[in-house]
Amino acid sequence: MSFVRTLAAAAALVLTAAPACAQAPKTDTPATATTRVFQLPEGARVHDVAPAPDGTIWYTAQRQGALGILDPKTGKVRHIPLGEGSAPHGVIQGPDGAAWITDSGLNAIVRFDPKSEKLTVWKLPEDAGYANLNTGAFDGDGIHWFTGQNGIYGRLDPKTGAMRIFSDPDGRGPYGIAATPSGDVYYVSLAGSHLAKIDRKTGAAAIVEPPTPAQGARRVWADSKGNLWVSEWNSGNLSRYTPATNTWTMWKLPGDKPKAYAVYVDERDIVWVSDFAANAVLAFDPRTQTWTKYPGSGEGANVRQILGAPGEVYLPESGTDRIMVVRTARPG
Amino acid sequence: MAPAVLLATAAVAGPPSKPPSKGERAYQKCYSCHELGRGAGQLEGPTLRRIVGRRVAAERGFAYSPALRRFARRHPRWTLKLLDRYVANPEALVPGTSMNFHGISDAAERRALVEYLNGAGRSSR
Repeated sequence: MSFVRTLAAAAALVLTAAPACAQAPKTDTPATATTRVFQLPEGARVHDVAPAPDGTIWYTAQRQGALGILDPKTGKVRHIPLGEGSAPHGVIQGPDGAAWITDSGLNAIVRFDPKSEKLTVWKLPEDAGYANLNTGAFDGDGIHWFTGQNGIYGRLDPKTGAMRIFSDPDGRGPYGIAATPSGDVYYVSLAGSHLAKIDRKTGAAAIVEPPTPAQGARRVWADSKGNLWVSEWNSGNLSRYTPATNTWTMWKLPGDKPKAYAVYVDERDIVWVSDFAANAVLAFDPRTQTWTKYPGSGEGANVRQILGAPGEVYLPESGTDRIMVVRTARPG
Repeated sequence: MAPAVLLATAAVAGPPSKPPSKGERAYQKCYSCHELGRGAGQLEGPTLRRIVGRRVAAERGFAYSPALRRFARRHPRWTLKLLDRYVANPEALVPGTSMNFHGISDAAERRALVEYLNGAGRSSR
């Protein structure tokens, strides 16, 4: 791994992917995949990333209270300050092409318009208390749903600004949230160890219990068929829930005492999951049951979220203040 | 564009009978990962029960970071002052800590939090 660390010290380097999944039951060599590592401002503590409409990459600079904008063509970075006390956690691209930020420091949802660069802030109601806002997703009707790790989830109608807050049935823990291709929204609870489907009309959460007790469901993402993939922090499992049959399938991550943090499913239905114990991100192909390992660019890379665009996967390394971009598309 | 708000249900930690103290409000920043009970739950961090005076990195069965375990060799117990420094900037005091919390810069809020934790610890003895 030393060559990765050495090369990653400079911004925007091109590396050939180096699968090194020695303990995996099977390995695969992505002959066409390459990685690039971009250095961010020191102390940014990048948390989440999202593709922007113009080809740049948004990221939350959690420690510096800013939305970061990385141009992967040049490696240049800009920070948009989000306000006094900001500590942004999640960022996604909304259907309106804007960045939607779950800001735990401001206890607010923040919208950044990339054209006008205007910021709009929706504070949570005072009586909701401090929510420790986490992650957001848009449903099929354009409603923004979000989680707060102190035990809430909520909805915001961007057209009217109306906001509602709901309590998670198990209390603290709501973490990752994602929409399916049909527009439904699911979230997971890290402390509650459950998956939940939100009734988009009433806001009620129907809990779906994974088979592994106390597994620590951390993040969730949907594949093209509407199956939900869950990264299990405590158990070290990657699990898949199939709503059509109400069934679960689990895979233990390779390696010693894995800690599965982030999960993302790309447009090819390859499942990406970060493992803090291995200091790596794994790409899992459910069809071939093979894992491909992408080592962190440095010690303690700690990838806390994964997202991408067709042909690209973004790995924000909170521990190194870098973003690794994996290009998965075949050239030509 | 002020949000119209409808609070569907009480949000965090149950409705208190009296307004929460400044320290209790500050504790909400810790709440998602740390409880005040006996621990051994599913939370990401160790319990803060009796944290003042407790040995650093000493909750049985909790997987502390190597950084905090090293720190514990130099600072064996949590004092009010040490907790204040940690809450102010965890990464600065313990580089490499796994606690993903970037600190409370307001000294009065920190003091209220540490005093609240100290009180909560005493009441749960």
